[in-house]
Amino acid sequence: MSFDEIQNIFFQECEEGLANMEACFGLCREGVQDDETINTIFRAVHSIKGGAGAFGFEQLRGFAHHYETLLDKLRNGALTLTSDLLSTLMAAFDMLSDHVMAASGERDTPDDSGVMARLTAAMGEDGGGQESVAAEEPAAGEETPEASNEEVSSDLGSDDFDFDDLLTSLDAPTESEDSKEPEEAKEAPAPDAEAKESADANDDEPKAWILWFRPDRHAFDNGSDPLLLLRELDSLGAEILATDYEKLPVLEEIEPEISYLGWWVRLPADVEEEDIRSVFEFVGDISEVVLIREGGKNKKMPSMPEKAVLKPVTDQSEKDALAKIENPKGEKAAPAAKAAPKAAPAPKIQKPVEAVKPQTEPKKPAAPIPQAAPTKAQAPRSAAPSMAQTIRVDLDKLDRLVNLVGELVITQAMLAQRLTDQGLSSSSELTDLDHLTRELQDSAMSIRAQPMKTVFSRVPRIIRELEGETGKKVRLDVEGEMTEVDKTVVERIGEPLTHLIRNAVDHGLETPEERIAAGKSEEGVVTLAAEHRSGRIIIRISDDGRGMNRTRILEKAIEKGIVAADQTLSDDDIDNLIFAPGFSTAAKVTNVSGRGVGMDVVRKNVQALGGRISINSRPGFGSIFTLSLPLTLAVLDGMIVKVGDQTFVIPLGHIVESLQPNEGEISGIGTREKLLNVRGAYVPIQSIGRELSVDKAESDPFKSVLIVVESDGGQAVLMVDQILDQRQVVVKSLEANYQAISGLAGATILGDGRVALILDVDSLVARWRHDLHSSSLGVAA
Amino acid sequence: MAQTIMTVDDSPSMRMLLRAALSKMGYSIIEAEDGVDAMEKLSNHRPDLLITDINMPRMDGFGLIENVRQDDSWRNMPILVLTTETSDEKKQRARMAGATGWIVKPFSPDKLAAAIRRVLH
Repeated sequence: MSFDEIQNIFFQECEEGLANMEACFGLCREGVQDDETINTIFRAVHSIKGGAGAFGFEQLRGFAHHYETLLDKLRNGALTLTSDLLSTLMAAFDMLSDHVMAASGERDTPDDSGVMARLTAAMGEDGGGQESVAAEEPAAGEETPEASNEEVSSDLGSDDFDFDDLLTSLDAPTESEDSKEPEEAKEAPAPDAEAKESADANDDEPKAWILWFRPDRHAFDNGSDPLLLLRELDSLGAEILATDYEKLPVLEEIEPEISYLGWWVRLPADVEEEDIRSVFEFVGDISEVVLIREGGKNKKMPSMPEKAVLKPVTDQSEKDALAKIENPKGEKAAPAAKAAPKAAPAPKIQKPVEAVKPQTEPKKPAAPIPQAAPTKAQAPRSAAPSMAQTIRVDLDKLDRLVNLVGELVITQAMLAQRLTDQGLSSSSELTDLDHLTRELQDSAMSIRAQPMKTVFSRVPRIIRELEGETGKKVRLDVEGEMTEVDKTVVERIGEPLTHLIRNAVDHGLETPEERIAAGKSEEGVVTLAAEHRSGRIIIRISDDGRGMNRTRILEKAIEKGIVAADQTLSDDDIDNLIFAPGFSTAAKVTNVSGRGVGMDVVRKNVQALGGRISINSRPGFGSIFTLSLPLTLAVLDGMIVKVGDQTFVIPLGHIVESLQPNEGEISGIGTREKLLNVRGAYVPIQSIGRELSVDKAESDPFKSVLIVVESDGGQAVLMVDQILDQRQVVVKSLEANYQAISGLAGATILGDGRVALILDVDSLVARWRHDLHSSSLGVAA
Repeated sequence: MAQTIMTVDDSPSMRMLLRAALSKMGYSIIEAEDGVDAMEKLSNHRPDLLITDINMPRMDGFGLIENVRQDDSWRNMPILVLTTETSDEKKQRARMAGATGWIVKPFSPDKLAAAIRRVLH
């Protein structure tokens, strides 16, 4: 796994973290402000900060750190969540998102000075009187709340982490024994400040170091082992001068897990003091550690015996002691002799320690750990949203699985067809297989599925920005955010959705004054809802605003020449005019929705996903935009049609209606072209057989089936011989298996094993219109 | 046989960074995504060292260490805490909970190696 890949995963985590935060802020706004909600927000910021540090995004880290400091105060009760504080936190949240985007290169580094000032102010207001609480907080030790962004960065920079350093180190063999880590020494507590002054200043040549080290009695607790520290000293060139056995009890009183010994150690003069001190990083403040230059003085340095003197131990007393241990109730008490190994003046480093090294290795095999007992750390169930638990799988693998399942579905259909042909269709095994296959297909598809939440979670921010830009008050209601849909759909629906939300606030909702005048509440409501319905996902964007201004839309459409002035249009027709290319109703181009991207683009994007969009509006009561999208792009609802000796699939999303024409409904233009009168509108008829050069295709419209379709280029009528079926088909890519062909969107394999081509309605209609124009027939679009 | 280190962190990228550095040093790695997950995995695995983050959902690092230390067979397993804080309070708290030592994030592989050397035979 390369560094870039790990970094990408970090950005995915940021996305998840930000989405979780958004959800939590949503709860906060609703008044749910329990500990777990605040904790979840804190954890998300904390993780982003940690990762940002690891990947060297200092700006992001600096901001996250400041943000976290404030959240920590809130978490610990030093601050209470007022609506002012909530708005500061949310402004900081938006800024954090911007910083994440800047770190991933999606935008420039944002100017966070304003938000930083707000954070600092929020800390100052209530935090000032709570110094005692704040002092316990982790961040308090690092900086004061007044620190500016710049100071934060430089402060954090002191503990800098070289990205290249890690890269190099990852590639190079690890130097474990001799590596120097001067930085750690800064953090290592200095157990004895006086030691520094003790070096003999008169001598130019630095003298050797003399170190006194006595581990705490409980040095073996918490999995520590002083032996490791002695070994590390050894690697620095240490030599043990003497060992202190004073505290060592008689053998029978020795507790294997108590540390009794102390050592005087000499270290070469050229070893850095920091390197020596860093050895005691974890134990320095609970052990006796005194370091002086040879000949120097420090009153905490115990005087070393001339030689490491041991009280003589007779063989007999040892034997007695041993006997006592073996026979605790023995009558003979051993003399109170100091039991100790017969150490040489400068013993090998390991020996004295190992003499008391406790038998801490577990003797029993790993016993199963009982189920984790609830601790303080384990939060009670709360209203906090459940966090996304994910497993990351290479998308290619997933697509291969989905593809294989697709093949299986086809094979199953073929098998069913074969059995039906032989009169065996009623066998229960076949029904079971059918169920299992469908279930397998659903499961495979659901792996690619993602909750709409990923898209919906961006909406609150858009609404907040719109509130600022328009001065309107907006409440967002979100329903069905856990509704799942294919990843590709989720990725591509964001833009159209954003546009519709912007429209709802900008055009749909009235200003607070207008609303009050209309007898509505000051605050407008925008509802975003998603649900599954008959194999599709339905997304509704509704507002309780003024509704579509049909008079204005019609005026505009006539002005733009989209409809004729004398044309009679239903309300629905007028509403749908906003989807016409080039239509824009805003009286003035606002910053919000007048960005040159019209509703036609929104519809086009939705259609590209195999979806449809419709409007339902009531003047004075608001509008509802409904998107209907397929759950996946790998499976398509299609109408199976026959043209000559070929079978085609027309995506159902395009189909408006199908009919068999009556006498008089078809008019001819020129020698070949024909128009169908669809309730007053003349729609060009396109023969699939002729267009795709299919043999034996029916050429008489009155003997054919006419299918009215909706496409990018408007309505058209496709002429086919016969409708065979309507069903879901598994889409196979033509590009991947053969090559792209204009007019065809892909292929599928039918139950009888034959390949059917899927028509690309948009491109077919566009191609045909182009032909019409170039042959100067003058048919208006 | 390579020594085994269990890493506990809710952030996959942090786990991967640890994995990258630790595997380079020759350790085998078991990963857990929070305290609860770690407790479950400890019933089937016997790591030589535990490296854990503090801030995690479900069960945080302190909770994990307390739980681990309660079990006699884990009483002497070295545990390193990953912390973003350099303050002594946090380190004290980690030690009170039963941690052997700490690694301040962000860490370089050298720093990681040094911390491990101080607690692992």
